Formats: sequence, structure tokens, C-alpha cells
Amino acid sequence: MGIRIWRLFRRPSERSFEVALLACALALVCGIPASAFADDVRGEIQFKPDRLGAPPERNRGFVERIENPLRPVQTLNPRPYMVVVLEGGPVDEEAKKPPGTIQSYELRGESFEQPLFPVVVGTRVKLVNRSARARVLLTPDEPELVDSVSLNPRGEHEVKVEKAHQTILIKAQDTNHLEGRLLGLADRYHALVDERGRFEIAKVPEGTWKLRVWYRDGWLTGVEQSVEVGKKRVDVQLTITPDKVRGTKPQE
Amino acid sequence: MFLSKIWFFLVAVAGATALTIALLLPRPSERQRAADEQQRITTACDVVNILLRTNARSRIDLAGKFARAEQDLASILGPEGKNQTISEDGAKNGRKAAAELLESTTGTKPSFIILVDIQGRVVARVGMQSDALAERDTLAGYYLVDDALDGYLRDDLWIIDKELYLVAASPVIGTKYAGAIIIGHRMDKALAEQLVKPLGVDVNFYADGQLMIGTSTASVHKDVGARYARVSAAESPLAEDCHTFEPFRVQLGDEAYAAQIGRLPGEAGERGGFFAVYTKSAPSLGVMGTLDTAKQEDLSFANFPWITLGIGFVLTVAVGMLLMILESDRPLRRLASVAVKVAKDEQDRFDEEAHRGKFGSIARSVNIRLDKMEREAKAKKTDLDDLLGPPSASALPLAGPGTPARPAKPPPPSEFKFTSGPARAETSPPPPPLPLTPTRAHTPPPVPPVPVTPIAAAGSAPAVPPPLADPPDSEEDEVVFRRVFQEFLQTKKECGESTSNLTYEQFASKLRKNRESLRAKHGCEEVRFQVYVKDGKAALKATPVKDA
Repeated sequence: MGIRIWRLFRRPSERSFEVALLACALALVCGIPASAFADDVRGEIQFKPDRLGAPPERNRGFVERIENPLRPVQTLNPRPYMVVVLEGGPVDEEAKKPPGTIQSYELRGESFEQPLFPVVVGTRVKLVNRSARARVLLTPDEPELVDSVSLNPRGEHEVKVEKAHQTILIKAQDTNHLEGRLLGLADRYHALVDERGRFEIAKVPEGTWKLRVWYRDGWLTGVEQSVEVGKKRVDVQLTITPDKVRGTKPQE
Repeated sequence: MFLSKIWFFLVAVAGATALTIALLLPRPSERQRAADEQQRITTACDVVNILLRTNARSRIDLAGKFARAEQDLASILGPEGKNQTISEDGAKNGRKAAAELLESTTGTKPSFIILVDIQGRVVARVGMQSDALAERDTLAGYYLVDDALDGYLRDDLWIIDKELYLVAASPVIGTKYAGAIIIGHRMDKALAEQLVKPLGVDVNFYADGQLMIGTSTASVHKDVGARYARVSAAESPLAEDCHTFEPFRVQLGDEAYAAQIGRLPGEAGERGGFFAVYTKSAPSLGVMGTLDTAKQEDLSFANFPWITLGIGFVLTVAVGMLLMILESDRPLRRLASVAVKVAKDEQDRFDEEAHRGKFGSIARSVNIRLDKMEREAKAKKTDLDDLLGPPSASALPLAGPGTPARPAKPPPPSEFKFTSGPARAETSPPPPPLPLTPTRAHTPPPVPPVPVTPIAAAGSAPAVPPPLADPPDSEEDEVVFRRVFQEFLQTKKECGESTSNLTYEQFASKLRKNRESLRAKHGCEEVRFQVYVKDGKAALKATPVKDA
């Protein structure tokens, strides 16, 4: 029997039909509504104009920083601080559930593995110290969550993200630059943006969605796009002007 | 004494002024010194800031030089940036290259060199044994590292394991950005001393509310920390702190320090980093302290106006002595001399006009007393005085035998009058003496008998004459007395005075008493009586005659 099924997938032309057929069968068996048929939403965030200018001077030593004479300096890249979120679509209950496993948010030396770590509300996140020195972490805005917790190398501390659309700022006690952010979201229909601006949200139910962008501590105002998710993969091109990035505000 | 008093007042004013100046002079001097001290500490703070900036520029240059060194760091860091993890070979090559760079450094060698790939991960490090900044750790996140990976050369201050590091970084560039090199100089005591050695001050570096490193063990940290807390939020540029903030004084036991602070930039500054420049203040001297600090050469003739001071002193003393001699000593000697003469009876009384001021008062007072004593002595002769006028022996020149009596001088205001009436001697000079000088050899002419009538003082009520108890007179005396009596009667009549109460016995008795009194007083043998008219009334004067 197994061999016969395998043979059904020998030719690609036959394979799509068979897969669709099998999926319908499974859906009927599992009782999933036909409207929940999902596909990926992919996209890319672009800035117009593309160059955002020099990165801000966050602090200064005794002398002003100097551009190297060999190559143009890098431009500001806010994309790693962005999370693309789909809202307003047919969200199934399963998507609102936090994952069954504990998520890890790793501290690697003087920064976290990523500056913004989005999770579904209710997710348990363990802060893991992957650096070689001990750190004392705290959440200054919510002291009851992480209150000067000392993390030795390879040490862990578990927190639970309770609130949606709110970041939890995590800082180290003895440095000013080290910080990370936990972002609580209502469901799993969101994705981090990589350094080139690309993102992908898997298995989005069919329907009309509104795409929004969370940047650092709040939504990018005026940056929204309607997305029709159908039976085919959706590609989204989102263009943002630099002034939108600078004008971010936390959601009220 | 007036001028002496003025002089001593002026001397006292000059002395008080000198003392005031002596007490006051150290204060402006101390204020000036404090101002100089503040200026000096401000300048020192400024210089430290400038040296730190210059040092930062040098470190940036060194990091840039390392990034472009022949060790070709880009070829080491570039591939590692693409790997999931740092390879052992990459770390080994990186350590070797960093060690060579460290060795090649002339001058002050960095405390550490760290090579990071484009992801900010530590590929290799040399010169540091701390757990911090370990290999394979991510240093991305440090503002300095992020900026270096973005293509900037810059400096910063890091606090690693409670030590302050002056850090600089440069991007490592091959065909594209490959990573960065970070060098760090630990701020140790030698480096701190190097900063302030030419300034003659101390410097301490603070962060996280505690001392990081300093050139002195003076525990001024609490006061300095309190000062920093007051100015830490100032919005002025850090480079202007030394001029913006007021220098201040720190008291540490008996010692005071002038201090100034400047905020540190970078990550250390965000953790309350600052430096304090301070120097020990000279103690407050005051007058005695100023004298204690005087040196031998300060009192030399070249530096001190000894001659002027000496001349001034001598002049002051001389003027004071002169005024004392003129106003006190000489008048006193003159008064004493007169007093001796009065005591020796060479002079009747003090010449009040010859003495001034208090001495004149003394003379007047003594004269008054003398006059009073004389009045008291004469009080017993009131009867005769009433009748005959006073025997002005002391006021008249003693006429020797054959010497014509000179007219008496007008008596001074305090002189006791011997006249019988209120007439004043100066209004009517006495007449020339009558040629009635009784002498023992002289035989007086016969005197007609005088009727005896009761005697009464002029203007007084008639009184019963007392019985005569006088010794009997010689014939010569009797003759003289009767003649004088006759002349006196005649003169009184001529003056229109009453003679009804005048009897020869009373008249003769008074003459005898008067004569005896003058004899006792002047030691003369003979007394001459003269009748004269005074103020229109008959008067009688007795004059002692010295023996020939």
C-alpha cells in the first residue's frame, strides 16, 4: 500500500492533483473548514529612497566618530527591528495558542541574538546567557517580570509574555547598550524581517488581511497594506519612507 | 597738653590703622590666592580634558593603522563573518596577527587588541584574561563596535571588571567590510599620572559611584561624588564642563582641596563616569600665619624699608617728646620753681598769668588758698582794719632808713585789702610818705593832748571801747602815735568824716598791735605809719622799715 501511494507521486503533474485530493480528504476527516485552507505570505520591505542615511550617533567618546577613508559608511538599517503582522483576517483558535514548547531568547555577548523577539501571548520564553560572562538582567518597565536576575554563563531565566502588542524591554544592569525586546502578539500570523527586508508568514488562512509593521516599541504609523490571501502564495511589496521609521510611536 | 593729646590721638589712629591693615591684608591676599587656585584648577581640568582628547585621537589613529596593517586582517575576518561559528583556524590566525600588532606598537602598548568579524563576534583577542569580551562572544551592541562595523573610526570609554579602559576601534576593510579591530588602554595610575604630571595636581577617575583609579590617596570621593550628583544632569557640552562648573573646595580633616570635575563621555559617562582634578589648598594664614611664612630675606634692607620705618619712628617719638616737654615738663618745672619760691617766702603768690591751662588753675587754686589763709590770719585784726585799713606790708616795698617808700602796686584780685572801707587801691595811688618816721634817735615834736572820744568803726554801730590792756609806750612812740592820730583826725575832718567815735587809746592800741604784727612778720625794728586819703576817706598805712 505504501509503495502504491509513493508511486502516485512519481510525476509532478500527477503529484499536485494527488496532494490536493489527499488534503481534501484529510480536511474532511479532521473537520477543518474549507475556508481555512492556507498558503504562505511572503514579501519584502523596501525604503524609498533606499538609503536611510548614516546610522545615528548613539554616544560619543572624547572625539567625534570619523568616517573611514576607504569605503562609504554603512547606512542605517532598521529592518532587524521590524516585525510584519497580519491582522483582521480569519484567525483560527489554533493560531492563538502559544507553542507548546518554551522559546529561547539568547544573549550572545553584548547583545541578544535578535533585537526584537515576537511571540504569541502566553508563550513562555527562557532568557539564555550564551556569553562567557555573567549578566544581571532586568525589565525596567515591568520590574516584577525580571528583577535583577543574575544569569551566569549558560544560565536561564523563564518569563511568560502576557500582553499583546506590547514590548518588554530587557536590559543588563551594568551596561547601557545591551538590550532586547520581547513582543507579545495575538496570534502566530507574524514574521521577523531579515536584514534585506524579506519576511515570510506561513500558512495564512484565506481571506482579507491587513498587514502592519511593528518597529522597536510600536506600530509604524501610516504603514498598512491590505493583503488578499487566496489559494496561492501571496507576495507583498511594502514600501516605507524613512520618515515613517523615525516617527514610530508605541501603540496606545 | 592739647597738642600732645592730638599727637597721641594721631599716633593711636596710625597704630590702629596699621593693625587693621595687618589684620585685613591677608584676606584680600587669600581671596586672590583662592581665585588663582580656582583658575589653576580650572586650567588643569581643561588640560586634562585636552590631553584625553588628544590621547583619544592617537588611539583612533593607532586602531586605523592596525586595520590597514600588513597582517591583512580582512583576509582573516572576512571568511569568519560568513561562518556560523568562528573557526579554530580563524581564531588562531587572528590571535597571531593581533599579537604581532601588539608587539609592533611603539610607545604605550594597548592593554588588549580584539578582532571582530562583520557580525560583531570576537574572532581573536590578545592582552586580556578577563571573562569579558571573550572569544566568540558577540560585541555587537557596543556602540563603538556597531559604529566600527558601520565604517567609523571612533573612541569610547568602557568599564570592564571595574576597571576603566580607553578604547578605540576601526573598521577592517577588504573588498568590503570584513570586521573591526578594537584596542584598549587600561586607565592605570601611570597613565593618570602622565596626564597630570606637568600640572602639579591630582586626578581621580570615577564611575558607577566609585573610584576607578587616581593619582592620590586623598579620600575626597564623597564630596566629589556629591558635587557630581549636582551637575551630572547639566545639558552643556562635556568638553566645556571645566569652564561651566564652578570649582569647589573639599575639606578633609585639617586639609582643604580645590577641586573641579569634568564628566566623562561614552559608555563610562552613561554609568556616571567623571574625573576630578584637585590640589591641596594652602592653609588660611591670618596675621600670625603670614608672619610665620616670612623669610629672612623679607626683612633685609633691600626688601624692607627699615630706614623709612626708623625715621618715622624717631620722628614720631621726637614730636611726642617735644610736645610733652613744651606742654607738660616745662610748665611743671616752672610751677614747681614758683612753688619753691613761695615756700621760701621769696614770692608771695603765684603769677597766674605766667601759667597756662591746668598749671594756671593750680596756681589760682593755690593763690586762693593762700589768700584764704591770709584772710583768716587777718580776721583777728578786724577791728584795726576797720579803723585804719590793712597793713599792706607784703604788698609794699620795705623801705630802709632813708629810702623813700615806693608807691604800692595795685593788689591782684585775690589780694586781701587792709583799707577800712570798700575803696580799691588801684583807683587811688597812695600819697607820698609823710616825713613821720619814728626813730629812736629822733626826737618827736610835742603833741597836743587829744580829747578822748569813743571809737567806732566807720559805718558801724557805736561800741563800748574795751579796756586798754596794752603795755605802756615809750615817749617817742607816744609822740609818734599822737602825731599820727592828729594827722588821721585832721585828714578825716578834711574828708568830711566823723571823728566822734575815735579815741586816741583805741587808735594807739591798734597801732601798737599792728606794729608788733609787722615786726613779727618781717623781723624789722621800726614801722612807719602814713596817713593818706583813699577814695575820699582817711586811711592809714603801716610800713616796716628794715634796719640800716
